[in-house]
Amino acid sequence: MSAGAPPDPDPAPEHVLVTPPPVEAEPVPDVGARPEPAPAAPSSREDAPPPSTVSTPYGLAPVDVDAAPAALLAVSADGARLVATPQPEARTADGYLRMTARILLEFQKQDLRSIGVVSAYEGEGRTAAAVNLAVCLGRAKGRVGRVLLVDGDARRRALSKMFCGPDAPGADGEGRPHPMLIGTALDGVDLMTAPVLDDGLTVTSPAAWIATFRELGAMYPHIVVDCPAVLENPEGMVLRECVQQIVLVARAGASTRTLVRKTLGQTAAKVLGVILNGAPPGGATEAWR
Amino acid sequence: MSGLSALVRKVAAAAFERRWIFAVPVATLLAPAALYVVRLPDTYTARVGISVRQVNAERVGVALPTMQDFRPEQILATARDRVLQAPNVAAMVPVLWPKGNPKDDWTIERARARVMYDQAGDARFSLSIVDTSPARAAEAVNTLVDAFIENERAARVAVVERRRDFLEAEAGKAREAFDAVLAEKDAFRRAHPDTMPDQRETITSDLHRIEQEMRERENDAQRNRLMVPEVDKWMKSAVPAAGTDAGRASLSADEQMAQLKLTSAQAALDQASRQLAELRVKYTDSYDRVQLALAQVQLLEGQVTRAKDELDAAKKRADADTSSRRRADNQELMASMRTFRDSLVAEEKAARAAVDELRARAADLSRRLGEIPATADALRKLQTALEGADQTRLRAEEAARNARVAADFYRNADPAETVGFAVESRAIPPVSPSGPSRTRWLASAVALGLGIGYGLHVLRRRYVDEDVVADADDLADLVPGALVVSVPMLGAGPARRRGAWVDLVCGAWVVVCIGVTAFALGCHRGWIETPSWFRPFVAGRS
Repeated sequence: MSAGAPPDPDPAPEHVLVTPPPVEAEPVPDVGARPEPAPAAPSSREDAPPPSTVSTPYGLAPVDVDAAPAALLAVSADGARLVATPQPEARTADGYLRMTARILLEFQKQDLRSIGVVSAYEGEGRTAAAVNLAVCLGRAKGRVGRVLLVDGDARRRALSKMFCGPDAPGADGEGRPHPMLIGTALDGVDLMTAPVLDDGLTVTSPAAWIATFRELGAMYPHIVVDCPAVLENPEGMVLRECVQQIVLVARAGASTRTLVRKTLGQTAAKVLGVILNGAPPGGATEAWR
Repeated sequence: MSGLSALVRKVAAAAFERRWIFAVPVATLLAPAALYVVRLPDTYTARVGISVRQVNAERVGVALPTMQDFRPEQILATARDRVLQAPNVAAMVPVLWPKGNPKDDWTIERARARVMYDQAGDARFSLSIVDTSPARAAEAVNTLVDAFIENERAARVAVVERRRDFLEAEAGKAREAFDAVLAEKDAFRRAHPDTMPDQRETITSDLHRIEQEMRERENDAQRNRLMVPEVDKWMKSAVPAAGTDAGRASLSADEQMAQLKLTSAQAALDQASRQLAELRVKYTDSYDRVQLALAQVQLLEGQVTRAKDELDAAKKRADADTSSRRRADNQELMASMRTFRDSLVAEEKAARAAVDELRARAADLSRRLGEIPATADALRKLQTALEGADQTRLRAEEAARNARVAADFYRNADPAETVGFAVESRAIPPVSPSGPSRTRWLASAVALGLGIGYGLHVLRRRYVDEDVVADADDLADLVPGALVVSVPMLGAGPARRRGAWVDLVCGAWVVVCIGVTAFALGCHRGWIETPSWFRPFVAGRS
């Protein structure tokens, strides 16, 4: 895979139907402005879009971020909604900020576009990590362009359901286009809904994912892919190979080294960072190697 | 957050995470330990304090046998073995076990194992016995100490009496040897009565006296022999003058007698002077023979002076006597002269006979004097042997006397003065129990449970949790070059909480075990009333 390649002049595959989101124009970020405050206090942002008023032409359900539009997000207990954490723990905010900074630095140095968030199994906090990374990237000061959050799990469709409701596009197999690019209530973050199982973007066609990411990379400088669980869903292994960089999500006390090795496979060199969820308090917050 | 608080939180979190691994073994061991310790009967410790004293000469006098003169630390070093000797321990077997056999080695060994020996300082130790009966414990340890003291005293008395018997036998032998040497010396004295060294001075003195007497006798004989010709010569010259009246031309009788005495005295003086000169050549004037010769010369000089005075007086009388009576006097004088001559001859013979007798006596004395050195040498040897035997006898008798005193002392004195051990405090039945240490049992159960829990923790980490990712460091080596951040879990994720049934089962088991432990200890301490069904399980205070 060619990481960070410019948009391919070749025409896109026929089965890939990407429609630019008909959302409102994103205000041009002021590069070089004063430093961005931590997400722990995002309410101070003045350029935040009006919450819960963002609607898409597809009638998407609004995200429940009214109370604290700039807060970090967590997956609700039923796994169907994203809930805001208006006052996240400082260590959590620091962790995501550092990971965001690392991603921005690497993208700037290597002209990268796509980054996959992978985990071994479900329940390790991968979706929440992907959303929060997209949120942090979307609020990054000096960002150019929008951030695309990709729901790569055609089976669970968690992100699609969270942002679009149970009747997410493509879930019913009706004539709605899929996957689709839709706007979200998050700052500068768009969502690409999950493909359907009989779509071209399946485990049987990794080249389609590569071509899609190449095409989207021309429009989005930052693509965050919520990959399926690698050891549960074969599509996770495909997406793991298709993205340019990887952020691994593990859960302290539950994940094992063996599972981490199996999760990364031959792509360990592409791992940009690791988010260790549920780490014991007082533990190390980062470790460079 | 400081490093210490972070460490504490980390440890607390780890401990909470592994709580059942430690809590279950601890509770599982604590409950049976509690049931066991409440069943243990109370034990009582009876103790006897004994101090060590050095048995030395200052305390018991010269009667002390030297082999017992040990220092306190030497006595203390062997005290334990001496106390726990079989005869001592056997004495308390009937106290501990009334039906026990004191001669059985196994029984004695069991009794010996119950005696605790504790050294306190450099000169004190204690003996104690633990028993469920305080009276029996006190009686047993007192019996042990009494037997120990008595056996120690008996052993010392036996040693001292053996020593006394031996020394008395040695004293008898020494006396016999002395008597034998003394008898030999007496026999020697009887065999050599005339040549004893103590007679040397007497014999020498007698010999000198005899020689002096013999010399005087010889002088007398010589003088008489010389005077006889003079008398004859005078008589021849005096016979014609007596028939004529020679008037003053002839000497009167007194003059002649005085002249004769003067002549003989002068002759004796000359001879004595010659002998004195000869002696002075050989000896000094302090020699007794020289002294005698000087005295004789002085005596003769006096006689010569007196003879001269008599001659002068006779001449004066003769000048004045011119009568005819002179003739008659001459005749009488002649008669006297003859008588005088005869007496001179007789005296000379007698003197020579005496000289011969004295010479024989001097020869005998000289022989005895010559035998004295040999006799003295033999007698000196006998005397030396006698003195040695006497000293040996005195020493042996002194040692035997001391041994007798020692034997009497060890037989009659206070044992504390003779065996080196003094019982400072005898055992009395203790009032409060000394054991068992139930707290120690419970603490041991807790410690053992924690040890087992740690072992299980180690085994689990080694074989089960080795692969689990616990913190960021566990991932750092898997993803080199990656940034590893650790964050708390956001929200309540869909992951189910595992091991709830483990918490339920383990918690219930721990609660049951703790409850059993608290119930048993409460019944034993009297904090709660002991149910009737539990009373057989509780001993001691309840």
